[in-house]
Amino acid sequence: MAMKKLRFSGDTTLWAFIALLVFWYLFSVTLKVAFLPSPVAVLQNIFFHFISGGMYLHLFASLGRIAAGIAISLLIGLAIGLSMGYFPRFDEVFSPLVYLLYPIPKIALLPLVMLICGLGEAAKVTMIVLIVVFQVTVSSRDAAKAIPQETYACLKVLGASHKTMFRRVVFPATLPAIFSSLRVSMGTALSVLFFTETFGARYGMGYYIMNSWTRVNYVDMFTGIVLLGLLGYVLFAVIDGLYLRCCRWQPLGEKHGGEGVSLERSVK
Amino acid sequence: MIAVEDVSVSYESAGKRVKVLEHLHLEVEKGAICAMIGPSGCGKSTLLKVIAGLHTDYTGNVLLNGSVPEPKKDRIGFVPQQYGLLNWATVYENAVLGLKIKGDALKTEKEHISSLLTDLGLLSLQKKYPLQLSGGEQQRVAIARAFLLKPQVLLMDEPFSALDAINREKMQSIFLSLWEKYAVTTVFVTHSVEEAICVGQRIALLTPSPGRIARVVDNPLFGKEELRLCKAYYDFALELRKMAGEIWQ
Ligand SMILES: Nc1ncnc2c1ncn2[C@@H]1O[C@H](COP(=O)(O)OP(=O)(O)O)[C@@H](O)[C@H]1O
Ligand SMILES: [Mg+2]
Repeated sequence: MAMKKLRFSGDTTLWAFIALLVFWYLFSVTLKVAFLPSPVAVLQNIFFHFISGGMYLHLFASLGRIAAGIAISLLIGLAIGLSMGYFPRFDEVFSPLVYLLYPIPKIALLPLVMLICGLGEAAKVTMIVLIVVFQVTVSSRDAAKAIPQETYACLKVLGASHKTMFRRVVFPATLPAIFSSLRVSMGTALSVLFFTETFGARYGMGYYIMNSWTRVNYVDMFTGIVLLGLLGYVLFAVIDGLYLRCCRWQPLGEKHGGEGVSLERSVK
Repeated sequence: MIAVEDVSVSYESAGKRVKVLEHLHLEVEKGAICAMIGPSGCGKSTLLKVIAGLHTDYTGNVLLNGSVPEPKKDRIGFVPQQYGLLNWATVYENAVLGLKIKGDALKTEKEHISSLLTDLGLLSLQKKYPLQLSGGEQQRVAIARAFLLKPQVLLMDEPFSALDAINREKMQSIFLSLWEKYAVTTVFVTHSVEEAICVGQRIALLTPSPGRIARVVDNPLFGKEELRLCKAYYDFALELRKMAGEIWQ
């Protein structure tokens, strides 16, 4: 059976994690400052929170916002981007619009978004969407444009409709590029999420970290930071796992968009 | 039957209209196979696209069994030089793609599918993806797709030119035996005189751009066994080369 090895293979991840903890520990004992607690204390705290369940609300609040933001961005971004790549007329109309809106720093729109959407979930998800949707749009458009005409010709000659073209050519052909834009977007979404959660939030990792900071509880603060990192790690691992599952057709070692995964396979 | 009457095509490029095909006539009888040779850029691929109904911006008439080609309605087998496979679909999915798009029930075609895959030596490769295959294997998948469709016409655009000599000869004979079995009206574009002799009942020679049919030659050697062991084969190849040389100079 062929077994696929991710960059997230168990042992290397473990070593990286241990190395990080050792460095952190050395720093904390040499510096001896309150704002850098020992990793032992932080890990104990994490363990305690997981037992007591006090952390889940924050984790799931953040996870939900990320998931909603990414899902909506994918829906809108792919619909527009793939259509732009497939229909030249559509591209002519939308490209100037996208290029005009893309460079606007969306974080600057936060006050406006809050005025429109209120302080609740809608504003936070909207911020993520505003920032991520352009990345998805542009990269999916470019990937769709890169499909050679000959590939279309072979289906056209069979009488394929536009719908069939999208299902059988445009979408699967751009899937590797969609995954790599998803990886980039995930990083962006996590930072945007943190930022939005520092305003008008009761739950969420961003809120938890900032709240610990104001309470001068550095162990809690680092607990939040570590968990946010772990959340990101899990999300990236899920994306890479899906990628390997969906893009099995790609030749060994070929990378798309240069991000992340190496398709190493060991045959067992 | 394929009838191309007085077809001219021009492309718009850099604001100028460039003639690619000019007053081209070609007729291929039902169930016949016509090989076509011409210098590169003379419009061979364009002609196939016109016949397939992919390129509709032309003057003149093109008729497939008496009516204008329409990909949605007709069953047209098309094998391009670069195989035209979907890299993200397995060998099996690629092979049955035509049937699926035409809305045929795969169940009733089961035997047909497995017998063709067997003929093409693809049975054990069904679950592989195109990029895991050699060029010859990929080309066999493309041919499987075209024949599975039970096409009314078959258009081959330099299908074997990316293969090495040994594989090419193998593919030519596999192709010919399938063609005989299915008796499908075929235009086979090639840039090799030898290949034209091997696969064409008649051989059409095109002029350099803008393309016209300069001559159509009957091929007395078509269907002959052990072609490459005959002296006549080399003589005929030489004769064709001379003809082509005069037309293309
Ligand atoms: N879509 C197109 N737009 C503009 N020019 C084209 C297009 N397709 C082909 N051509 C031109 O038409 C000529 C004939 O092309 P083609 O039919 O591919 O020739 P062949 O298959 O005989 O090599 C070439 O000069 C090519 O550059
Ligand atoms: Mg060509």
